[in-house]
Amino acid sequence: MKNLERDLLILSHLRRDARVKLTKLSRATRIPVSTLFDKIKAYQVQGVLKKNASLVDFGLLGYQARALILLSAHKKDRAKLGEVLRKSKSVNSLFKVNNGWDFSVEVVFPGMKEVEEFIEGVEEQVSLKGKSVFYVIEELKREAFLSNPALVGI
Amino acid sequence: MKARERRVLNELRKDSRASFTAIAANTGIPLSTVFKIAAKLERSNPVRYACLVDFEKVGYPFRIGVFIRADKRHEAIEFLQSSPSLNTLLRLSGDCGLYAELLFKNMPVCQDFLEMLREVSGVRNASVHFLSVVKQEDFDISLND
Repeated sequence: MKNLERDLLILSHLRRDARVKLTKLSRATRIPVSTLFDKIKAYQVQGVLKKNASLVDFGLLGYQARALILLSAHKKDRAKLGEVLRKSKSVNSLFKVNNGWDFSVEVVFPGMKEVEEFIEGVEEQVSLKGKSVFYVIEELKREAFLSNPALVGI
Repeated sequence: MKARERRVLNELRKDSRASFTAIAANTGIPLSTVFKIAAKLERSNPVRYACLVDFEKVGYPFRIGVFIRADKRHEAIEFLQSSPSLNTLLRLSGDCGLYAELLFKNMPVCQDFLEMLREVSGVRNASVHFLSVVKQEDFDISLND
């Protein structure tokens, strides 16, 4: 990325509002619409821009249980555990981690009972070495990094 | 939420820049109805449309998740929320009161931040994990249909 600061500025606007119209983005960044169009396409091709997501309040949609789960498996089962978690539609986000654990999983369910059933279901498929469950009481910030164009370049 | 609303929201979850025309084509829901549903969703469920970025490719390769137990939780929250490195901050149940996901350009900056966090908020325990993304924001809203 040749002009990193300019790219970060464009990305920060898209982080703040991914549905922003290119005309509005052009006025805010003083970059021509055609250039913005080409840049956004390039970000997608290069894999810089991975997804235009919609962040919703799961609680308002009836999903009252959101949990962060740390999981570890024996070495021979690690790949299978990753595959099971990756394919699950109840897993909102999945990270590989270190420091004694293999995966950090964010799951969303109607209630705690379903969270427990999910973990039991994983254990039926893969032998787990360890698990630690944390229920999310309140979301204070989400996808905030690089979402304030005013801070780019500071 | 009605099944049609879930389907529109799910399309926006997959691609928040999708045109309403594309959503109508993918779901078989009339365009005018998609417009109405999208407007209703924005009123009733505060949706934020945010692009997900590979931060490593823009100079921030260090992504960490920190489980925090702090004596001064409010100070910890204030300190974290004021940091431009913060991506996500959650209050958790149980002993581990907070979870923060942060991004840094390099290790020394990351280490300095963690030391300041410990000093500012009387952190009793901070369990730090380096994170490598497998998938994000993938929950299927239409699951219960």
